[in-house]
Amino acid sequence: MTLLQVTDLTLDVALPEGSGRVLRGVDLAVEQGGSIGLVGESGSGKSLTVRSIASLLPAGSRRGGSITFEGDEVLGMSPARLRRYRSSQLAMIFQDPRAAINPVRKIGDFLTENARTNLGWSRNRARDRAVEVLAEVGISDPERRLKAYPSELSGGLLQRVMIASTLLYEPQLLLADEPTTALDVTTQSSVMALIDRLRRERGMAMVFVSHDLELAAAVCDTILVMYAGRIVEQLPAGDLYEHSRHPYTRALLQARPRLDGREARLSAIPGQPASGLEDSTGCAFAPRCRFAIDQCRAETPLVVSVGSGGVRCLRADEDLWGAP
Amino acid sequence: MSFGQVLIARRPRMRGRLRHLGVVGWLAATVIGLFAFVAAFGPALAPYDPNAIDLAYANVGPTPGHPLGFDELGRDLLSRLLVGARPSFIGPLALVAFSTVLGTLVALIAAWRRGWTDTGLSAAVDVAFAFPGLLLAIVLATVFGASLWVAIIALTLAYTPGMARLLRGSAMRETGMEYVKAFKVLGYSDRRILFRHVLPNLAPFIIAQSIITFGYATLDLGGLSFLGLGLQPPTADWGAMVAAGSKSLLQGYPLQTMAAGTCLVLAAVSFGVLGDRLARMWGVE
Amino acid sequence: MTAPLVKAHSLRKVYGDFVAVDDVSFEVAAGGSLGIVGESGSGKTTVARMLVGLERPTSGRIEVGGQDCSKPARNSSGRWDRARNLQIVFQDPYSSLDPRQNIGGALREALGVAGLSKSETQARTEELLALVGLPRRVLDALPATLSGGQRQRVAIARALATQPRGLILDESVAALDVSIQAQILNLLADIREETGVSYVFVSHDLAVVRHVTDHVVVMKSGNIVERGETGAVLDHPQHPYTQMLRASVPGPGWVPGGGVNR
Repeated sequence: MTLLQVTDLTLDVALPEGSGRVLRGVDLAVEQGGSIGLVGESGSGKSLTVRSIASLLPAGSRRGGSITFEGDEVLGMSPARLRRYRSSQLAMIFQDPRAAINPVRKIGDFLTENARTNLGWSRNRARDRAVEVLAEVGISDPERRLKAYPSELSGGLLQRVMIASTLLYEPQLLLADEPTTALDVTTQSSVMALIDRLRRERGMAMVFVSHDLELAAAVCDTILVMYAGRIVEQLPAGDLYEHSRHPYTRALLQARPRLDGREARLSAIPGQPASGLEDSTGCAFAPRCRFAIDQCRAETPLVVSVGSGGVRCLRADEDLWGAP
Repeated sequence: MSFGQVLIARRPRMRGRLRHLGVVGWLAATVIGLFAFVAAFGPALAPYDPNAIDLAYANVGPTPGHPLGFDELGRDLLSRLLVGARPSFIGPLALVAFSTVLGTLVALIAAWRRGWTDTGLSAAVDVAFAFPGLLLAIVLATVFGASLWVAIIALTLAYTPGMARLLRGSAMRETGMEYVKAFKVLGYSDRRILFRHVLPNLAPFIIAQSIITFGYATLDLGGLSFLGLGLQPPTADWGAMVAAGSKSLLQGYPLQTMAAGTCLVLAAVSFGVLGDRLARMWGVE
Repeated sequence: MTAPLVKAHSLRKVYGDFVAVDDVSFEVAAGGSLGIVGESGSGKTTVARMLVGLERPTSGRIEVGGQDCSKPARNSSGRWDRARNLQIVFQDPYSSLDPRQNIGGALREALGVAGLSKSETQARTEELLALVGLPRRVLDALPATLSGGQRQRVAIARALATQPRGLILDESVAALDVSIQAQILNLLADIREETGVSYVFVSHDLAVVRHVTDHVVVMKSGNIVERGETGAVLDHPQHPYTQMLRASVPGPGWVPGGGVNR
């Protein structure tokens, strides 16, 4: 059953010179317990999409389209309903835990605050639960850690604390915005394993935002690739390496150097990643695409169903990567 | 890097939109402009000799030709106000200039050399900061005789530690930037890095701070004049006029004190407001 | 056998009680490319800084091109001698350029300090731009109007202004988008081919290191735990830490947590 449904989401943000459209019709759906990965580079709109889901939008921005959570329209929620949505049904983890946790208050305060203010728990109940969740995320000596300040903990530990804070209640949807980008690769591996385990144990759904296509494919069921404010490809994670069809997705995969061998030259994508702001007629990726034809520059492609996914490309049906 | 790249101007730059000054900012700027104008041309504008005593008119109120009336010695109040603008402007200007230059120097040296130099200078600044400027002014005036320059020097000594402390934070941050490291590796001299790169980047903050300090300087120097420690009579000076008018105030003739006092406060507030608006416009904290 | 360009002997750096770098030794062949791989706290960035004279080693020796460069320069002529040997490109493309200086000014200043005359500077500026693949119009641009990738190209151009024999790249592509990273990596390969400059590539990203370097040293907590030819070390890691690093990199068939101790 569908937990989250985003339909034709558009977002216009306020800029010094007026306003600009950064999200141009995003569609996605998350099932109960499912996980989708939103992948893209700078300007793709992946962070803004996730923030829209939490209704955390910058001042002066205008949104269009619809986001429904369990059937309720998020973009029209009353303040009380919104508070309930954000504090008990949704959980968010950000890239930099230090930016999200108040540095002058103890970890214990951070963990129990939401529960005590929004859920009305007693001090003792909140404290006991905080100790439990710290243990669940693999932090040793949890009682002592409750009294520590954020500056005393490493980035990896702090991110585990953030994850712990989402476990105090039973959120149905986890929004993770580049949660491991700032961490070492070994720490990233353990933190992702933790998130994975907890998700499965609780049946929590997840929207995972990352610039790392391979990481997202390893931890999500479905991958959505974003470019210039639109979704350009959607496919099951298992199909990513062999069956992706959008020129941008393939180009991204090929642009990474390989760990198991050395090529003479990387197949780099010329130009810069575009943002939704720079939109003109035609496909946003056309200027950088080696398969672009005149038609690509004239019309904006619609999504074409391919297998169990979709591709936003006029040449989706063609076999562009045929055997040499 | 997604959203911020688009929207946020990452570094303070001295452009920004003039309209961000706001109505209040523009008002303040106008007042200051007026102040500077009068300071420059006061003596030429004064309708009468500001020092011409005529006891027959002592404390007489406004009459035709004398819109503000007379002070306790029968001198035309308007003329004295106009002429008094100059020392009331030059004094704080000198004070702010000296303390800014010295404070910036101290902050830069501490931020550049770090380590023991920074620790030592910070300690010295903290100690100096504890000395009340007023006391210092009194001591110096007793030793060297009261005058505008004595007051300025005393307050410079009192203001410099405050400026240094204020600027140290930004100086530390700026000298810690990677471009500074890159320049060192490229072989640039300390002087080049500090004066051609670090200082210009600190300029918005320093200037905004100086303008705010101008406001305090106006009041502090005015206060010292009030106490008789600044410019000596018979030269017209707003602070001294507030003092001189205080006796008349008690006798029911408030105009001198009120007029001079209002000018001082208006000037001080305008500087404070303008400095604050500029700081916001340039994006410095 | 040509003499190595950089020789580091038993480098050690201590901050109070904390040992950031402990007995690190390595060589970089002239025209070669060495990777220094490690995670945060490994000491790799401290090593890079000691090489360019931004940090003073607590003990140990550094030789570049046969000259002893162990201590940071005491004055600007000392700095200038170092500048001709080794230059550095930092990670953050946003703070490594003076925001108030346009690109032309930045390059001309670097060339001027390097001793070039006005006319030579003009020609060399154009050469550098061509070398890093930037159009002439960036000369009038301020850093804020350029993208991260473009700024890194400027940083590379500026670093090459003094015609150094070696270039240290301290996580220089880590802050860039994947598609831009690939462009810069190709650029670095081209530059090495054209100018024969040596690289010391400091990074946590094994795939990037594989692509750019011939030899690698793996650092953990201030020590080198493994070293060798890049391909050999990454294909057949001997040290448990290297194995763990290798196993933590996402790729086809990868599962998080594999090979990592909690």
